Amino acid sequence: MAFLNSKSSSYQFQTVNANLKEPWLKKVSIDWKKYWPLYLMALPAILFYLVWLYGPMWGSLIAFQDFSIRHGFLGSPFVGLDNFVKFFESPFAFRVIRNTVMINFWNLVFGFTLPIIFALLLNEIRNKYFKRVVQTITYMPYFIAVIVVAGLLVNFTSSDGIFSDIIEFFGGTPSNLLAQPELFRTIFVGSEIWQFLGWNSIIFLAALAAVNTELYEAAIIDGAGKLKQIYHVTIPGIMPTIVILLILQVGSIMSLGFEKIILLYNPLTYETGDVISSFVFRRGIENAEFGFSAAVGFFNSAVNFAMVIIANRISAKLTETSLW
Amino acid sequence: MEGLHESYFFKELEARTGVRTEFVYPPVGEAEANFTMRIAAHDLPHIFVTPPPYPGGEWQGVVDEIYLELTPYYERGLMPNFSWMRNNHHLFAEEIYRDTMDDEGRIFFWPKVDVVPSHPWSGLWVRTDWLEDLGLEMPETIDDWTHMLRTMRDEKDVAPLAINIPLWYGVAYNYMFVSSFEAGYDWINKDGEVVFGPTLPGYRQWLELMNKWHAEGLIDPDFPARDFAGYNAHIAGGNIGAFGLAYGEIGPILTAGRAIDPDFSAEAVVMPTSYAGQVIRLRQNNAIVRGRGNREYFTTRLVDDGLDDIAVVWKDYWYSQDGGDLASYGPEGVSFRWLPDGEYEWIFPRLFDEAEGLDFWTIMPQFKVHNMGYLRDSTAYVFRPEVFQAIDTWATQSADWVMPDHLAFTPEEEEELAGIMIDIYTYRDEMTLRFIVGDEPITNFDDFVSTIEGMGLARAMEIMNASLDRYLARGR
Repeated sequence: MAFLNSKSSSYQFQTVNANLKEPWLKKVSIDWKKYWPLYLMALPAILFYLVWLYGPMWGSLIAFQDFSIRHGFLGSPFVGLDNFVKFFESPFAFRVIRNTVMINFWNLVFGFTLPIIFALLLNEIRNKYFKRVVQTITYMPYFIAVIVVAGLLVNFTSSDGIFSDIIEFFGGTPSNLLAQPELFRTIFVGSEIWQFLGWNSIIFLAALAAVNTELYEAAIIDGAGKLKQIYHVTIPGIMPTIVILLILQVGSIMSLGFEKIILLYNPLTYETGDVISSFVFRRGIENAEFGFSAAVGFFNSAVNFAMVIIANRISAKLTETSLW
Repeated sequence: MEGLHESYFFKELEARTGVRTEFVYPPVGEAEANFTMRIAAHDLPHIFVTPPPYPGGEWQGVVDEIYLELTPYYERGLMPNFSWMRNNHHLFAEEIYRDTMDDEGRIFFWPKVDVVPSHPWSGLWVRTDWLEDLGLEMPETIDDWTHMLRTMRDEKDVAPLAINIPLWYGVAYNYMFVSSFEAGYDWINKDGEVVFGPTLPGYRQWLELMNKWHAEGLIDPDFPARDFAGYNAHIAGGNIGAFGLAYGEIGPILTAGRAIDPDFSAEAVVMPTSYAGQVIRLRQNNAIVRGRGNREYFTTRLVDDGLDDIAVVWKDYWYSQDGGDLASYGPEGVSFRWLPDGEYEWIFPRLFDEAEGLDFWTIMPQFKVHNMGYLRDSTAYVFRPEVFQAIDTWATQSADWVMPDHLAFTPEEEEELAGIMIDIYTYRDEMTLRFIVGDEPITNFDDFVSTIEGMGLARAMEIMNASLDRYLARGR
């Protein structure tokens, strides 16, 4: 992971940093002569970012326009912050922001930590075949289309579904769980965990594989048991990976796709389940307001960007690991 | 069939008019994106058939020089059949005249015109085999309904009523029970004055009834979370005694239902009354000139390519008796033949081949058209007897409070109205369900109304009424 710039691995960059005093252009040209195949290999990725991510940024300008598809982005009139005002004037603006943040927050708390714990557990399994079977089973939900996942959930949570059967078995009254606003986030985040637990653990497993085995041997000689090995060797070994992924996840606190939400929510659960994207989606369907959706998207990105910077700062101070 | 060019209708149309049509199709599921891209890139076909809503209203499409205004061609006499229909039709000339133009008298779309009127297609149904079983009569009043549902609940051990609120088989379209209390889920036209249904006292009475039925276990407890497929499957599954449904869905439900229970049968029923002598004024209804989703638009590319006159004359043929019949039935001798008594019968090969699992609605595109702009015989389909019964039953009640399909708004009005209503609709959808399931006590109804009023209802109502006034003033 080249973007890792923690203190522990920074010595790898010493040789490059030694040339700091050289002019920038000269530095690149020296570098180019030495490493040109690497630059060539990076080219497609650089082009990808320029064409698909930096290019369309101009399109964000329509957030400040009364956009007309006919006149396009050069011909539509500028309206300043009207689109933003429209969003924040809506009586539902606060609610959809709150719901988005809350769902992402709980997803961060559980959806982020559980794959780490799961990876640690997998890492301790010595039976190769059992390990592979468990891995395959937990990856599987990742490959199920969201519409199928939602269909399963709607069935399981109905008043005669499996969850209601369980509730009834323990003496409760069966009811439709998706009609209860207080349960929406639990169902949503729970199903996210089910979908992504196995898949998200892969990167941690990869990080675990890279932990130096000599460290374990040293720990065993020092008399450390399994738990102490995990605490003193394994976790510090994968900490940079954890921190970097955490920072990135914090940076998407305002992003939550509408696909699964609109498949699961209904007006009864708007109170907890209506998020920014589903709100914009409904509005877009009503009157194709491209400027409005762009403004909301722009606002989300701005908050996400700020969150990444803040998280990165905090992390740099506390753990000495940071994105840049 | 690979495309519409293989349709016997289009082959015959080409033979008769000498005009060859080619077809381009948006990718499945991407019709809206494709439409937007074509406008943005100015990559237009000559005709858009049932396009998605044009941002800012359909007239904006003409202002943006995407859609072609047809009034000049009409005035030049290139649309004789269209003109005859508007001026000389023996039954509906007045209505067709009014509904084929906007408030300024401009013509700019080719609608489907149902001169054999299209009847209500969504309403209430009951399981008649259950009624017989339980010794019940067809319900006529709200009290009959309560009694019927309670009996079904007790005897059959089910939550017997399937209901949907926002979709085409639900309250928003067929006014199920809300019309018994003289309210609606959206705008209604109370004798020339537009009012918003959910703010009326009748809406509170309806909510109270729904809440009572829900609390007593008479309504499917999963109703807020059911989608279209789930709703239909639940009815067919045999645990439902009464439901709202469009007649198009009854066939598959009867088939699936009978596979489980051979006695499964259902019949349409009229809207119940809430007091003696009540006249029902709201039910699902269609204008003779059908609304959005049944229209074609010419584009300005026809002018660029110098084909506009030819296209107008060609399209006008679809509104002649011959052209309309061809579109409705397909070519004589290929899809149908006349019987000595003046009736016709369908003869297209494999039309009713049950061995191949095909039926009329699957085969139909090979020889006739459906949602396009033409003079339609809306009975030229194959319906089950239950459908004819449904149409006859529902049509006995009046629909004169239903909003006209063809109100027109200026782009400014359109934008302002949409901006106000989007939040009101969200709030109404949410609160309606909360009242019904009891999350919100009905005593808060007055707060509900004043919240809606606080969201700008008065201004929206002003726009709606101005539009209705202009609509009613349209004339020769």
